[in-house]
Amino acid sequence: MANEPNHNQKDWPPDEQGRRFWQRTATAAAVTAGLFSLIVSAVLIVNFLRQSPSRQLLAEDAGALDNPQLIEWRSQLHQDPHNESLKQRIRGLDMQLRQDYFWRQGLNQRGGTLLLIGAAVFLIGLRLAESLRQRRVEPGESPLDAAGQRRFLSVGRWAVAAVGLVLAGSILGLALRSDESTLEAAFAALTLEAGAAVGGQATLAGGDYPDWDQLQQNWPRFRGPGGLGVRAEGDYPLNWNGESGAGIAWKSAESIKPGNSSPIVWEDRVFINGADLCPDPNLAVYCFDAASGELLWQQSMRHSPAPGEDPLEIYEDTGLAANTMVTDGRRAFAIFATGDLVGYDFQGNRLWSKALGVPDSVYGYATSLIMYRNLLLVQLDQGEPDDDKSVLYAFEAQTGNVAWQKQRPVAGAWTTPIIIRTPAGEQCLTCSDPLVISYDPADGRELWRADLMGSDVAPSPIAANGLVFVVQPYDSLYAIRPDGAGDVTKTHVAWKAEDGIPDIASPVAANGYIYLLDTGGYLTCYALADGKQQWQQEVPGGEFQSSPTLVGDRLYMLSREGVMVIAQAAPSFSILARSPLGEISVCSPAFCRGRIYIRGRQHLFCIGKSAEGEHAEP
Amino acid sequence: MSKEKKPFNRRDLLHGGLQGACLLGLGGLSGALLAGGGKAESTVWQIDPYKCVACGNCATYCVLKESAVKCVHAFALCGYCDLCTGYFEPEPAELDTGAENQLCPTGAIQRTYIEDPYYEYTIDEALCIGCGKCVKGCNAFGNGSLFLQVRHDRCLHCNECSIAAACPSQAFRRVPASQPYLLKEADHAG
Amino acid sequence: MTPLRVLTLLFLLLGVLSASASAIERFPPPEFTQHTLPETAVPVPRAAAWDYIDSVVLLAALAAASYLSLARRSRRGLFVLMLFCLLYFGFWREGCICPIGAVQNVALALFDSGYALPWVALVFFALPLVFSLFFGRSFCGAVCPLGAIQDVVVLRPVSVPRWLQHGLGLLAYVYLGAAVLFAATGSAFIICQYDPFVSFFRLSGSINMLILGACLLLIGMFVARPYCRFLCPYGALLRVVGHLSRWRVTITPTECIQCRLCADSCPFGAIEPATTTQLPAIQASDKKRLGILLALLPVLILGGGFLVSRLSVPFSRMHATVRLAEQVAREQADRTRETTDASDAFRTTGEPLESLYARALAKRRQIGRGAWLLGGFLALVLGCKAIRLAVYRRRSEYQADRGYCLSCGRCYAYCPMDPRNQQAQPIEHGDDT
Repeated sequence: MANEPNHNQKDWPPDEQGRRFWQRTATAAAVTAGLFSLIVSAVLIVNFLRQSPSRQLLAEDAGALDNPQLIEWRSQLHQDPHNESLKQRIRGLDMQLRQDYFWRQGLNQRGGTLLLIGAAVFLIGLRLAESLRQRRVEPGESPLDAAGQRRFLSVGRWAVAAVGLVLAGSILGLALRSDESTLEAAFAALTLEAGAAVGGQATLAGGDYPDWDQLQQNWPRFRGPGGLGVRAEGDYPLNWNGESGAGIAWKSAESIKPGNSSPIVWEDRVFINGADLCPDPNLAVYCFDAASGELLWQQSMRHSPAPGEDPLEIYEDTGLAANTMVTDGRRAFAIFATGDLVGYDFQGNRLWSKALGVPDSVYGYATSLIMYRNLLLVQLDQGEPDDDKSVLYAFEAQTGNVAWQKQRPVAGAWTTPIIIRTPAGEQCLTCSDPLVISYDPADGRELWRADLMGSDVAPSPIAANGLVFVVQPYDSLYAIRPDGAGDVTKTHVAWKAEDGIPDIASPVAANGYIYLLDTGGYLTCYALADGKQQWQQEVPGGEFQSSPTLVGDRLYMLSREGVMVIAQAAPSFSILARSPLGEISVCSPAFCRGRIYIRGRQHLFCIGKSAEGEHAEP
Repeated sequence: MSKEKKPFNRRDLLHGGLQGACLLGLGGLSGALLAGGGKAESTVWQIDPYKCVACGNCATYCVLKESAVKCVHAFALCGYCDLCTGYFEPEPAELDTGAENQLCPTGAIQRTYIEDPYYEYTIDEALCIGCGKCVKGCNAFGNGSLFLQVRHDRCLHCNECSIAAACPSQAFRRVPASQPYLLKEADHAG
Repeated sequence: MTPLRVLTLLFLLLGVLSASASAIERFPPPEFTQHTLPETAVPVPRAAAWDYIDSVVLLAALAAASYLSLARRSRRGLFVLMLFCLLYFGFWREGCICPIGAVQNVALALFDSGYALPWVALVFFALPLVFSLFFGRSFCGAVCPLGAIQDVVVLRPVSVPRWLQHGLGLLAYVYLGAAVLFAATGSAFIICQYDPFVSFFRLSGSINMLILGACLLLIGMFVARPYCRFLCPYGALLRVVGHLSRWRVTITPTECIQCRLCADSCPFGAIEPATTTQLPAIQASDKKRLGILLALLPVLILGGGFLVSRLSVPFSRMHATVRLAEQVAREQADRTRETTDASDAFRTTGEPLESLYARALAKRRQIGRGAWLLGGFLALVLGCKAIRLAVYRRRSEYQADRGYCLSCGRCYAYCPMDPRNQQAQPIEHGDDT
């Protein structure tokens, strides 16, 4: 059948006698080549098996040349290093093993080639003989009549059903046979036993707020999920140039009001706030389409001074809109240095607003908003510790009603709180001069405090590896175990470091290391476990005010000149790329779905592939 | 190809539509992927020597009978020690080239006297099987100047490297073909 | 030799003390004045030009195969082309890159934006599909080296019963779905791992794959091209696309006289017999069956998705991170357990356990979602196949099924309407033993 009748060759086969001759020759060639191939295969198999018996005595991962006798003799030599005859024996066996090994390698190579040639000759012979065999071509299946066709299809359907059943059966069998994974249990046990504080806004599913996964996928607040400045994985651009436009997916028009706050991203939306004076403070919120950069809506409100309010003093470097917004995927909230708090829905309708009064802050109020479940937390620190003016508010996101509020005996600070999860429950960690205070975010109950801070505190706290980390500018980095109660100043500081301490940028930690980037560009790496300094590197690029971000094992550090220095993080440091924005920037970039959002002095940049090439991140 | 003209019918329309959709889909897919990775350089497999744990899988998992991975030596990093823990087995009876003292199962490392007390170690790649024994020794007690690399004159550039699949420390990765080696360098260590 | 021992111990101690990090200059490199340091040799990789050559050869071979199968109708030409492609793509290029494996590269690139798809992989993936959309599966017939190596060993093919062929043919979709799932999640490239013939092309490979390949070739002497028909994942794609092809291989160059001579000529069972009559008015029961099948399809898809999603745990173990996390978790639970190279390597990175677990669980969730899709896809394939088999078609001639026909051209010689066959000697009627 397969060897088609040779109709179309006029002189092949020439005649009956010739045909027989060629058929015999071809068969003989095929038989010879087949025998030859068999012999070669046998040699190769013997060659393969020959090394096996001695290898059975060895460990599973023994090398190709390991030999039990040799190992035995070598250990004997350790007992008796002067045994010359043993040395000679070892050398002899070693030589023999090496020669054997390379000889076998060569044999395999040559044998393989010979086998291939043998098989080719065998096949050619067989096919030739087969094609010369006299065959009768007989008419096959007759055309199908209606009943035949029906039967034909019906049998086919049953075959498909049978395959489906067999597949389903094997899937079930496999599912039942495979042992349960203990990974979830191990993960849960770890968080319970070791007292690990997993940074992040841990929330339950259900309710009018996003769940953990949604928060992880987006960049809902200052420094992203949990405020940790960490993106565990994902592929983010390395190279771009804001001036030439290379690698830039889009940039906003110039009309957005200035601000030093950072962008936040929720699915297809990017939010940012800005404000200017003309001559009264004009406070604006912008919502962009993440894919195209189109401005979907903008809303603005005016600050109305309270009666008897002092004229607004604006510190140039901070501005009116240094506070980053927060979103829960349903609403977006913004606060400004004027103390005006406002919430919008995703369509840009104002939900509610509050005037909390202009905070008394030396450099201007700059703390960003955060959320815990459906609560909007506002750390409004101002004045001096004994002024009794600092408050931590919790507003209900839907209504703006105060859920709870707590007076804080601290001075004005420029930090943003984080929510951490501990085996005992969630905590809201705040960090101001002079106290680090942890609250129960549900009701504002104080859990513990530590008297460690001083001066103008700007770096925000982070959590990693079961510890929380707070920075006293220019002075110390403290690692605190968050499982204490009351005053833990003397009891719960795990370790402390004093070299390379930043004054503005917040630290970032992951994969066993914490990184500190000071304003002068010195990057210092400590091991999380014991606070041992790993290395210190000078990051070229001038002044650094924005907080570094860790994406996988890469550090993204944005200099004030707008140059993003991207470096391989611990254990070994190396600079991978330097990508200029072309504008001054002090914001902390947002990393979301393969794109980076950076606010420069004039524009909001989206760095990444343009819309067509984009695919959802897994 | 001649094709009989048939009366136009629903089946033809469906057929044509599906065919067009297939073509469009394929074109769109290719376009999207090309636009996405348009600048992607061609890549080759390589070992990150800083991640490599010298487990020995390179010697056994390569599809080649004799692995494409071999040991290379960054001479600038080497301490030229007399007692080289990459060359000698843990407790050598004597510091000489006797087979009983050598760590390398194939004797692929050559030890040459340079000047007192320095010895140079060079690798005969024809003999090296990429087992990584010397790498382990050198990393444990030496400068780590011996390390494994995919030799691109041997590597077949499999679509999915079978050593990479077996690598315990994810040291195998694709690197740009224009920079096909990840060599250890002296200043990196400092 | 005692002083030497002491020295050794001293060195070892020194080593252990400083063993915390590798590549640290424990022993400062000497500064030679006389001796120059040798350079570390770096043999260059193969030239990028091969990518272009491969693509051009593929394009030319596809064009030639289409021309030979549709216009020239030359089995001999196709056979020579097939041998050339076997030698070039198989033995010369050693089986990499091939369109079958390229499916995985494309799947990975689609779902992992971090993976840079080599353009040549895209070309190899797309070109045969485009060609089969116009000219049928000419790629399978004469270009694919895996097909070719099976084709040359076809000796006395037996005909596989039609129902078995329908059933076994579905396995290819299972393979395709699984390959895409594992490639897209970055778990494994199973098509490449279990390529049965590439070890022949390279004359080296694992003993298991050599045995598997040899078995397939032995079977292939009697069941023609078993890999292509029942397993090949790319073949499954081409089968679907082939159904839509613009032109097709026809057995007869003119008009079928229903002589039935070609009915058994196809070793791949692709030739479908003509039907005598239009079926009498479609019966109500048939309509009902079709309706039930159509209505059942969404249920099947959901059920399939649910069923396969039960496999997310074993599936996720294909991924190195999940395997590592499970190993580490076992080691944590049972401290006496032996560690593996991978868990040792993990512990040197200093990554916290919870981070590893979280990564592994995220990967498992992703694979779980993929398993839902895979189950839905498999159910869809089964359903569509059943629906296809519930629809009657009228065929006035013996023709090759577009999906199953591999454009090998064997049937040309059987058609008495082909003038080349008429000029030749009459078919000899001898003993058929």
